Amino acid sequence: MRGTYLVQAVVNGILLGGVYALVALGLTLIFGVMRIVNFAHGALMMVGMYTAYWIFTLWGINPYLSLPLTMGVLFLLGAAIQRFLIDPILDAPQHNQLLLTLGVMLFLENLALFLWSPDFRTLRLPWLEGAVRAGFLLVNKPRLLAFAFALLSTLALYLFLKHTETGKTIRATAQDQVGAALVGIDVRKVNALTFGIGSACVGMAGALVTPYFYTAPQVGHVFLLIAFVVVVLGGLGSFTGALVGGLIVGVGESIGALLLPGSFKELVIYAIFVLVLLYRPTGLFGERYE
Amino acid sequence: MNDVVTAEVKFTRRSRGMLLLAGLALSAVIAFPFLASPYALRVGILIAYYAYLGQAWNILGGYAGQFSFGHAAFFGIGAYTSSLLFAKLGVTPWIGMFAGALGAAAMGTFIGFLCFRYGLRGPYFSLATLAFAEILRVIALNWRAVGGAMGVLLPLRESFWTMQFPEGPPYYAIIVTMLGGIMLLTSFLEQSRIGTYLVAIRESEDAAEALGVDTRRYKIVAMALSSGLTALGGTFYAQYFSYIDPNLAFGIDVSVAVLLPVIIGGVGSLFGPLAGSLILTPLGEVTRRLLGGYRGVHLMLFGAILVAVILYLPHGLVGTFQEKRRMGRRWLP
Amino acid sequence: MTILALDGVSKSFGGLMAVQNLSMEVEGGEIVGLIGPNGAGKTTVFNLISGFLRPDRGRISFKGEGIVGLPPHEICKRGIARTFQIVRPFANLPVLKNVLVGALNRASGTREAHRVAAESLEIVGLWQKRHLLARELTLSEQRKLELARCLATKPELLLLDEVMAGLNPQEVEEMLELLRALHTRGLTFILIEHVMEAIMTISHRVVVLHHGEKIAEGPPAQVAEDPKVIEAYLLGAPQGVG
Repeated sequence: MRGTYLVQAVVNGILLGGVYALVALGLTLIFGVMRIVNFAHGALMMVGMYTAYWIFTLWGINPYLSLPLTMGVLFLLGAAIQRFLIDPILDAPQHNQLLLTLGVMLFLENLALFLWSPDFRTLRLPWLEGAVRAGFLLVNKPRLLAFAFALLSTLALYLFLKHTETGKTIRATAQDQVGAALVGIDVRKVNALTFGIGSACVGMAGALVTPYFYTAPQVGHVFLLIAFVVVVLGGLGSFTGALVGGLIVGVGESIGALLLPGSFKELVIYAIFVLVLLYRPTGLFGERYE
Repeated sequence: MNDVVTAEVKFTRRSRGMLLLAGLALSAVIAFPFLASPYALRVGILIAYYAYLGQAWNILGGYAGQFSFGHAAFFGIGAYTSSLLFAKLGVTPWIGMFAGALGAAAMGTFIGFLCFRYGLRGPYFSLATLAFAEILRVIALNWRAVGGAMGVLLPLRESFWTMQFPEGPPYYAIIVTMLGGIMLLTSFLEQSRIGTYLVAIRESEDAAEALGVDTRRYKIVAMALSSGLTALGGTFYAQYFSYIDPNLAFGIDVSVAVLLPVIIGGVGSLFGPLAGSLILTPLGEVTRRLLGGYRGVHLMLFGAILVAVILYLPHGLVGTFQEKRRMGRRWLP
Repeated sequence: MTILALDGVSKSFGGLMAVQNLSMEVEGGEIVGLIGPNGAGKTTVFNLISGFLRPDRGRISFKGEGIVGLPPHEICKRGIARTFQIVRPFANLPVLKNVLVGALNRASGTREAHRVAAESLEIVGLWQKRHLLARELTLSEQRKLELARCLATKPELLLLDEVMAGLNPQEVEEMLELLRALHTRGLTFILIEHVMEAIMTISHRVVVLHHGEKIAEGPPAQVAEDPKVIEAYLLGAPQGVG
């Protein structure tokens, strides 16, 4: 009897983890290229959620169809943030960079609060309600779709980084900003591009979870912390790390929810976080940073 | 010889001027509660309150250079400890606040020991402190004995011993005294061995080590001091607002509110937190009043100000002022 | 009397052997030059002695007592002070405060520390600039500042890492004068240098490292003629030889 619960939890965890991985990918990409820990990442996801929500509420287009639009909006927002706010302080001490992104987070979250009130909003898709049966397992449809899209995008991003010219340029800049500039890469453009892509990723994740997760101005906090845990666990700057880390955190949270009462499952996440920071801050796949 | 004499005269004139200014400021501070409207008094209390918290954070963040994003942990320990002792056991908050401070200092020492033992620096340290604050928040949220999501409502029994007063002036007196105390402490710290070591650690940990500074020990000392002092602010909050819950005590908003005035005012400076609070707090209150229906506008403003300060005045107000003075002095013989 | 002794010290990073089986001794009052092409492991040796790195193998003893495993601040307290290859001043602190940090190492209180700091600043000639922020100093002044900081800790052995790098010939001469003056006060020195003329002039003895190994040791004139040394420098990166 217990075994089936566990398997169900693991499956749910994997579905969850796929989305976490997508969120974390954006964060780790930004860090890998610019060495910036983006505190506004959760807020950007929130913007993605609201974008999808309003497109659906005003024009009836469901979040999956409107994905390109949502991603476009987030891409532009991210690129703009990088270009105008972050670029000037790339050489500033790290804590200043952290504080700046914190400021952006404060601004975006409270802008949303001002515009759309703290009300929790949900996006109902009647044709997507319920679950799919697979043996004794129940797989929630929106979560499955979110996982599928997340997986596809992760693959797409991987191929993009590995095989396209732009992707290779980004990877080169991630390795060495100075060296990249020396070989003629327009580093400022790459930085803006990367931040744009990272934002588009997390915006996409936001859109994908709207059918089953509430939309609210402060929803970013939850995902921000999870993203940090995933990225530190997987290794700051590591693509594989974000994937593996996402799955581990997703499954960990799911099993935690099964075994622990109330919202203690969050403790599992934070405990993982602290342990990783103390014992292996470079994460599973990361290189020594500093 | 003449230069020495002129310099001495200039110094005496300057110090007389400063003394006069200090005297005026002190008089204004003392007279304020008698002249101000209840609303203005409330703003005054909040200004001193945020300046106090900021100064406590400043000891670790500004002087020692370790940016904590989780000071809510210590704030909450202070608030919860004194409130629970009062609500459940009838212990006077005057004693409870020090129990809270001790608890927070112990937690700070523990967190500091863990973090610094493993060499966490920069963003890693910030994230770790954030995680610890969140851990405490989740624990408080799920622990019925401390009130869970309902938090702690302080029973209303106005008296001096319960640190509850019907009107503002006593609260004002308390927080202004606390602020004065912490600023005095900080100024002594600046000249002391501890203070000198802390700023050295901030500037270059390796160089400090090579000069005989036990950097780990001093960082933990800064942590304990900062956390204990922050907890006292937590008790004040609980007494002033009579209610705390896991979010109000341990939430990210608290951690941010604590460091915001310091960044704006000038990290690592004595007057930075006060300057920052003098600007941000009235701004926040006025914005809240004018646009009362719309929540969060003041925080939007703060976010924008934070971004602007980082971009254009990275040393904060006080820091930039000191820089300009420095540049100015260079032109004099 | 031997003040510092390294015995079979080795250190590797990943697969790279930075220091291999190094044994050397330094007598009290000596000025020992530590030279070798780039990447020879010289700064690593300093890091090992001063406690920033821990050797994989071997012993290091100072004044007869083993110091391996002690944290850098402890080693400073014992009497070893060091400078850094890339200057590390307390940039935003005044010059006086910089040196005060060092002075507090042995001083019993802030007043005595101020006295020691003032003395150190006088010796290096930076007393006039004591109120300037460290970052406002020129490179040559910053190196003197590092020296003053070290002196304030009242060391017996001084490890100076490329203290002449980036200095013009006049500044090099000033620094040499300073070192000679300090030497007469009874300090022992180990100097890492690439400015060959300087180090050959001032050292009593020179130790040559190449790929982490000691390949030669002896009086400067003798070492300069050693074919192994010449070969190492020709094969290694050409660095200010002559």
